[in-house]
Amino acid sequence: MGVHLTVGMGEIQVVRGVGNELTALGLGSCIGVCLYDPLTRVAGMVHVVLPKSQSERTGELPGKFADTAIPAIVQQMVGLGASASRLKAAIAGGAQLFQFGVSNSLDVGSRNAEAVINALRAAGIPLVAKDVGGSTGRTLRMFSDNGLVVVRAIGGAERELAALGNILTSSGVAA
Amino acid sequence: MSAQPEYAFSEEQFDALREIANIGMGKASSALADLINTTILINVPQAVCVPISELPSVLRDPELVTAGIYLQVTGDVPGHATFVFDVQSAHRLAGVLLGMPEVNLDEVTASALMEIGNIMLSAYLTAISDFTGLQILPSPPVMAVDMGCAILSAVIVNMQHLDDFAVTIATDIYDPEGLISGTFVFLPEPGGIQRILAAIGMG
Repeated sequence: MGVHLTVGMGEIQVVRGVGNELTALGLGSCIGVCLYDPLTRVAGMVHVVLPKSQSERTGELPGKFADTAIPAIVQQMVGLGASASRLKAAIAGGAQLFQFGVSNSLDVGSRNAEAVINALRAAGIPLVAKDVGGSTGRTLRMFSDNGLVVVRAIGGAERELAALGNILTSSGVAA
Repeated sequence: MSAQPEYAFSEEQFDALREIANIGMGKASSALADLINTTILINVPQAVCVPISELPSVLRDPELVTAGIYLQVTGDVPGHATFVFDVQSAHRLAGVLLGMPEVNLDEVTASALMEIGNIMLSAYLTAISDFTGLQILPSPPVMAVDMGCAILSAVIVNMQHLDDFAVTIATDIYDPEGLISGTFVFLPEPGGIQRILAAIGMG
C-alpha cells in the first residue's frame, strides 16, 4: 500500500515504490518542486517558501529556501536509492496573489521561481516542465508509479504538467 | 530536524494573548455588525505556536476559496493581519455595503471588501493598542481571492524573519444565520509577542 503525503510549507517528502502520492496544497507565491527517478521510482516534493536562506543558523528547515531545498531533497532521494544523474524536475507556483490594492511587497513569487530554476541548474537536474507566475494559487500532485505531475488552479480542472517517468522526456526545455 | 521555537511561552502567557485577541475581536466584530446591521459572533481565539508547515490548519477548510484582506502592521508590534472570508460571505458583505443583491468580484467590490477588512482590522488593532498602550500602525490593505492556504502562504512570506515556527492568533467570526463566516489571523513578527506581554506585566 502506498502513502499519500501532504507537503506543507518548508517541508520535504520523499517516497520510493508504487502507489504513493505527494501533494502540495494551495501554492501561492511558494514553489512546489517535483523530482523523480524513473528507474527506482523514487519521488520527492519540496514546498519552497523563499528564494534564499536568511542566516547561518542551524536547525532551519532546509526546504524553506530554494538555495538549500534542492541539495537537501536530492540528498534525501539518493538516500532512498535514487541516482542524482537520473532525476528530472517539474515545478509549479510562484504566483503574485494580492492583485487588489497597493502591494508594496516585492514579487516574491517570481523571485522564488528564478531561484528554484537556478538551483536546479546548479544541481544539473533537467527542468522538464513549469507552471509558474500569474495571480492564482495552485495545488500540485505527483504520483510515484510513473512520475506523473498534475496541477490545478482554483476554479479549474486538474491538468497534466509533466510525465517525469517518461524516459523520452530527457532534456530541460522549460528553463 | 525542526528548530525549537525561540519564544517558548507559558500557558498563562498564551491565555493572556487569547484574552487580548478576544478584546480586539470584540471591537472588530461589533464594527462589522454596525456596518451591515446584523449580529456577529466570535469564537474563543486560538493562540498557538505552530510549525509553518501546519499554519493552514488554523483555517477550518484550508482549500476553500476565500477573499483574503491583508495588511501589514508596524510600530511596537510589527506583524501581519489577515481576514479571510469564504467567497459567498464576501459577496454578501460587499452586496450589503453596496446596496446590491448580487455582486461580481470586480474593482468596486474588491474596494468595498478591502474597506470592510480595513475597518475591522483597524478596530482590532486600536483595541489592542488602547489596552496595552503600545503603538500599532496598520498599512493600507491589499486583497486576493484564492484558496485560504494559498493566501496565508502569500502573507507569511512577508515576515521580516521567517522562523520554522510562527506564533499565530486566529479567531472565527460568523453570524447566527450562517450567511457570513470568516477567520481573522494575526501573525506577529518574532519579538512582537514579548512586547505585548511585557506591556501587560506578563513578560
